[in-house]
Amino acid sequence: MLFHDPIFVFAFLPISLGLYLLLSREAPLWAAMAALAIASLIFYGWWEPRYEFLLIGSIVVNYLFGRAITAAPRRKRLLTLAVAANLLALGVFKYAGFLAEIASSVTGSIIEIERPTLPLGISFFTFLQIAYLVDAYRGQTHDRSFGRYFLFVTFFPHLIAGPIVHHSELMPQFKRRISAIWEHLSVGSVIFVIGLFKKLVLAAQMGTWTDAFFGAAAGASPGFVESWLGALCFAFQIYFDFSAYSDMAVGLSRMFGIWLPVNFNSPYKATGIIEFWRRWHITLSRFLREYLYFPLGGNRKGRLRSYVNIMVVMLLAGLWHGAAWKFVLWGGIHGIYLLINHGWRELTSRKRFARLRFPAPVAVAVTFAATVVAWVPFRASDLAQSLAMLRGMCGLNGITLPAHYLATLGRAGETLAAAGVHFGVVPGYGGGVQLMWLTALLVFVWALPNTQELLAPYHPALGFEASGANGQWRRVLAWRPDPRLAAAIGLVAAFLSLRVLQGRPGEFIYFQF
Amino acid sequence: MVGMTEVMIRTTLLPTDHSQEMIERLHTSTVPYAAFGDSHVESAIAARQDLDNFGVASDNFDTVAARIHVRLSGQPLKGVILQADPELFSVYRTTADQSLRVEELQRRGRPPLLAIMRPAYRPYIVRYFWAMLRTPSLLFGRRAEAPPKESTSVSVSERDAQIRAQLQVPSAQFQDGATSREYSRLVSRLTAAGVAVCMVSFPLSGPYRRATADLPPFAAAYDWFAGEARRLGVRYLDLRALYADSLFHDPDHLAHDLAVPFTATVMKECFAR
Repeated sequence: MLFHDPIFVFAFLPISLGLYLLLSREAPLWAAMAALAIASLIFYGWWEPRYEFLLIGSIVVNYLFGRAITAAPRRKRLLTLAVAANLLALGVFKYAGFLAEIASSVTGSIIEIERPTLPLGISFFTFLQIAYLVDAYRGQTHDRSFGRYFLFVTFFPHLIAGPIVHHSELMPQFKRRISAIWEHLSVGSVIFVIGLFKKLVLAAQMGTWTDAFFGAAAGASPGFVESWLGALCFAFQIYFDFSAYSDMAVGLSRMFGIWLPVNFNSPYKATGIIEFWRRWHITLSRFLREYLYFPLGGNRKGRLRSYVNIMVVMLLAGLWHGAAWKFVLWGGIHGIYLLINHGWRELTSRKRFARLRFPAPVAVAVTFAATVVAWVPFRASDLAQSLAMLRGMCGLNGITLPAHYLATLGRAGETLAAAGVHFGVVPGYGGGVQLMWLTALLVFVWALPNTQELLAPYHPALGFEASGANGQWRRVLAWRPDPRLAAAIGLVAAFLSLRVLQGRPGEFIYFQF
Repeated sequence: MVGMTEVMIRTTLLPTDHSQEMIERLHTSTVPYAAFGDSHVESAIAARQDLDNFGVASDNFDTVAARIHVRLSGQPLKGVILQADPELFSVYRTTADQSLRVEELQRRGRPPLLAIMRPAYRPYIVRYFWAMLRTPSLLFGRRAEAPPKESTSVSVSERDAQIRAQLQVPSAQFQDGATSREYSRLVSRLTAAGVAVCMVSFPLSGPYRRATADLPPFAAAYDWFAGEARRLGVRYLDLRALYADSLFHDPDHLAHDLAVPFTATVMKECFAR
């Protein structure tokens, strides 16, 4: 079940929410939480019921490991065993085929392993529980309730694609009975509608164009224009897709009176790659920092070692996104970006190089361009397509403009033609409408306040602190309980219900991880 | 909004919708010849006593193939006119998800209670809604005043032709793609079933032919169709330059009033009928 499936929007959500709210008011707390857990299992099993057993088995085993680690004297060995068991499960389902592929190319013999269907959300619920085990080892798990642990892992708004919640963020909330129901419902539903809009309108349109550009690039030599347009379309598609999912998860959870951590905070406004990773998939960055980078030594063992650690973490982050070299390449590119960013930051922190610092708008533009380039291998179907697109973006495949532009541009067109610009077919190009969309989305991601900022007075997500940026915009657009605003949001929701019924906007990109 | 769109579909579209009839005909027709393809076929072929026209605008090849399979599973067929135009290999067609259309073809029987949930309408709900906002009279079953354009020929501009060609350009290495493989497989299957296949490249306006003349993927596609027809031993008609420019409705669609004479030409050349 996807958050924008008709069955979810028109049946699952109203029924499960209604039941939960009713039980919260009229029954013991455990009954409401049990209803929520059952609803979460139905949500998970809707796609592939047999993986319910994997999910439940993983929860039971990890809970028992957690209890044993807390109690046992030789806990490190137990922790190693528990983490290894989790990674083994992840490896079998997600990486076995990839490892066989590597083994085949190394040994030269054909090793084939039947790739099982990837259980939905396995990367997320595995990481969630590894963090729990490590914290149990550190003596930081105090709540021993199995029921709350079960719900912490299965709680459906975050189960499939994050945020990667920390047990200390969620489990205490399950001890509280929901209050201020109307505020939760209104704030949650507004956030959900914003997410739905991003997914069904913005990401869907960008997805159509991305498919056209990347589809045309397969086996071809895409020119400068179509390569950049394709990469830009995907940069916006994944931005709005993931932003949409994060909003919907936070909004849905809030309707149930549960706060999730902020996971997405206008990453394209970042003035550097270091900052980008503090804004993009925030909870994954947090996990990698706390449970991988720090245990590797972080920056405590000298500069060189910290740079090695960064590369290791980013390569593994890439691999976490998928069992393919293209994701490793994407992680590697970001690792190199981070090293450059750290080096640059260190250089410009010296007094005599301080004047080299970019003004903020330039830094944002450079960071954005670097991110767009890095998205190419992430989206491309294989390494060859990535290289073709990247060559195109460097201008190595020439520059082609649509044939009819020669006449439209008049003398300028002739000058361009004389300078070597070719006028012909630009596969995927969608004309002025496409350019207007891209410009509008650039304004959206750079200038407008994000969902958390719009709802800042109502504490939309855990760990979000509104910055002073976008002050004026925020004053105009900020959400407040107001009948006119409610009517406007109602209209948008009604329109989106048409889109929901229309169906087939595609699953979330992050669902495949 | 959902309710208004439902009403609009029921009052404006359903009364003139023949898609259910077409599906029924696909399953039950005894007419010996049939034409399949996209809007080129839909607008240029006129159904006759001995010929069904199963062409539907914007069908991609998956859907065309599904229609043929459904028809083939029914009463015997003598001959098939199969579109052989490069846009079948264009990215916008090959990446289009038409599974709802295919699902509807295979699921015979009562359509869903709500008209907006019918596969033929469901992918376009939002477009219908905008159309209704622009022309509120649609809610009461009135179409916009514009006459049916397809019956009139217009002067086709070079610019429009270039824009259309830009959209319809076949993807690079389409020869190795799933669509071309499926095309060849389908022709083989038809001939193996004793059905005479006639592959037809449909007429194009001069501006469109000029716009595509310098584009290698178009030439490669026509060469591929001709080569496959030779290899598979079926007839291939290249009718791109059959008509003067003044007889086109748009860059690549013949004016509708030419459908009858054009169909006669095709049936004669293909099947000597």
